[in-house]
Amino acid sequence: MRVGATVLFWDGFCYQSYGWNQMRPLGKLQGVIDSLEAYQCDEISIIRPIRENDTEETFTRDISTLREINSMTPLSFGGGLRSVEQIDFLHDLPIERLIFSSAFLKQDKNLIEYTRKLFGHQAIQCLLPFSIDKQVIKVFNSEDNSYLYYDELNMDFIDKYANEIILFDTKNEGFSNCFNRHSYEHIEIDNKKIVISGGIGEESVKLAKKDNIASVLIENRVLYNEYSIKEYKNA
Amino acid sequence: MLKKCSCCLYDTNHPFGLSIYDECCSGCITHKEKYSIDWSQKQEELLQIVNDVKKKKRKYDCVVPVVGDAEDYYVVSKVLKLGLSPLIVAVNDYFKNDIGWHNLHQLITHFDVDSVVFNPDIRVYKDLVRTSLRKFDHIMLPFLQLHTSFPVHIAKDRNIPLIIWGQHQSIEQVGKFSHYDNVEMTEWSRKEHDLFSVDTEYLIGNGAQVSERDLNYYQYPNISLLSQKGIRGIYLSNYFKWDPLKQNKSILDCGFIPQHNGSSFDIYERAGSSVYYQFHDLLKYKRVGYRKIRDHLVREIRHQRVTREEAIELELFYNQSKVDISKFFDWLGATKSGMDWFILHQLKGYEHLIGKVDENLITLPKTLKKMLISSSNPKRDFILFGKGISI
Repeated sequence: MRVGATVLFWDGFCYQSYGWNQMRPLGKLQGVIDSLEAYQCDEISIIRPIRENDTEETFTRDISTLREINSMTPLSFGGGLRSVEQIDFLHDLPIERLIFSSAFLKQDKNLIEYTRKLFGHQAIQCLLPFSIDKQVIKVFNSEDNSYLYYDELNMDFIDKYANEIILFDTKNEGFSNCFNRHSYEHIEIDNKKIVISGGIGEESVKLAKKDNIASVLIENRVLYNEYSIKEYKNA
Repeated sequence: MLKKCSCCLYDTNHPFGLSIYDECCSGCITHKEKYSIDWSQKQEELLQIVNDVKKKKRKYDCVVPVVGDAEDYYVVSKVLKLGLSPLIVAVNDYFKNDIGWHNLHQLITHFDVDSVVFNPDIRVYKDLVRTSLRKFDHIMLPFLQLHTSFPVHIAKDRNIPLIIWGQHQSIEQVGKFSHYDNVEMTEWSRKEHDLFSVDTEYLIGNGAQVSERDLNYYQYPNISLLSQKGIRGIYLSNYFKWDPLKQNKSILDCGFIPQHNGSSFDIYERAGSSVYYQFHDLLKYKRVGYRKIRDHLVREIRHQRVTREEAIELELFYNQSKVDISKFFDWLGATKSGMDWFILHQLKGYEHLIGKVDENLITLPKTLKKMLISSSNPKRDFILFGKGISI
């Protein structure tokens, strides 16, 4: 199982988020990536936590920062990828995978197909930011800033077009060992395609290994102490 | 887009970064945690770390990096109360005045602790200060590089398992992490917060007559080795309700001498430095757009010893205080014409703040004033080596 990290990045700066709500500043993207690389992180998902507040200017600026990044660690990137024009703009980036969320929720086949042709199927990840209340799973649609019921999703479409699916527990994000396993127990997709993030702690890593999850992405706490990733790898 | 906190004086241009949430900044929100945290529970967590360290039965349980200011007295007193055997580690920044040397040696003799004071090669040090000033408008970067790495080298070389720092500056100022996160010392944090992303490699070349082999202790030790040896660094501000002014006042009976300065009411923090409230403060103003007084006022707003309105007025007043930069240029070995060139080309717009240090004549709010006592003025600045105390 891969052990990686999720980094929230917006308007040239990295942030930590708690419960998909309160944000704390973190630092410059290159500095964060350098440390995660030194900690032997297997992969880094850079996510722009945008809601309805994205602008072309911010997007362009963030892509320019990303273009300058030096990294030996495989990077994936997403957040606000909603048009073919934006995909065209992603050339020469030091990233291996692209993360889509709203495009999968509204089954934007054109956009996904277009990206697939340019980058290949293995480069496409689907992000499902979810929240669970009384065993009811809801998925956040950032484009509309609203939640959908899990049953409203076309999982066949997601399974067909996404190489991996990132289940992001928004409610438990930023806290330790709280990731809600009900999400992947309920979802009808092979665990080998599932990546989990949000509320990851050493216990969550142990359980994920046992459940044959493809990868865990630790959020905020990767920079709380030196060599944090190693501890998770040995969990 | 620039956003301002409506509770304190910081805005989103803060060099550590700042988030605004419901008009209040991440620093103010994090400060409020101090009133809801179960501190006895936090101290239990600290005791667990302390007990693990004691079990190792080393000659020294921990390294305590110090500069000799009031906070160091508080930290050392806490470390001793925890029953730890500390090794005090200081780096000579060559900027101390007579008060600074007194305070450093008083700390060591009052608490009767073993110490190491590192005097870096002064030629290399001055060359790095010169480059740092020229390239980054900063004269303390070489010291900060040493202060944040030399104690870690000592811990590594002598197998001392723990390094104990006082406050985590980025938590106290901008709430970068929660107190609950128990954030520890990391190479990333050092570079991001203490060095503002300027590591040693940026200070060599481009005219500096310094080669990489001169810089051993300026560079952070290999983190893989630290990890193998199980060395970690913690911040006491994660385990005690941190209130610098109150703490600093509480250690006055240990023989610490507070220093008067014209640029802030705070007579405890970095007392004994010939540059901190002088040229360093002016350069900070140029670099980040505000002076040290803002950090002090924000802290006091949060501790409710000054209102935001009073703080705005006080900041306006202290922002006009003059600083003496000529003694620094003498120390650096620059000529008068060199200093004039620097003022003309690098301090344009700040010339009115250069000159004789003013006596500050502002009335402080009573709540703030009662935390202060009478302070001293240094008799001599820039003492390269000093004993500061007779036994």
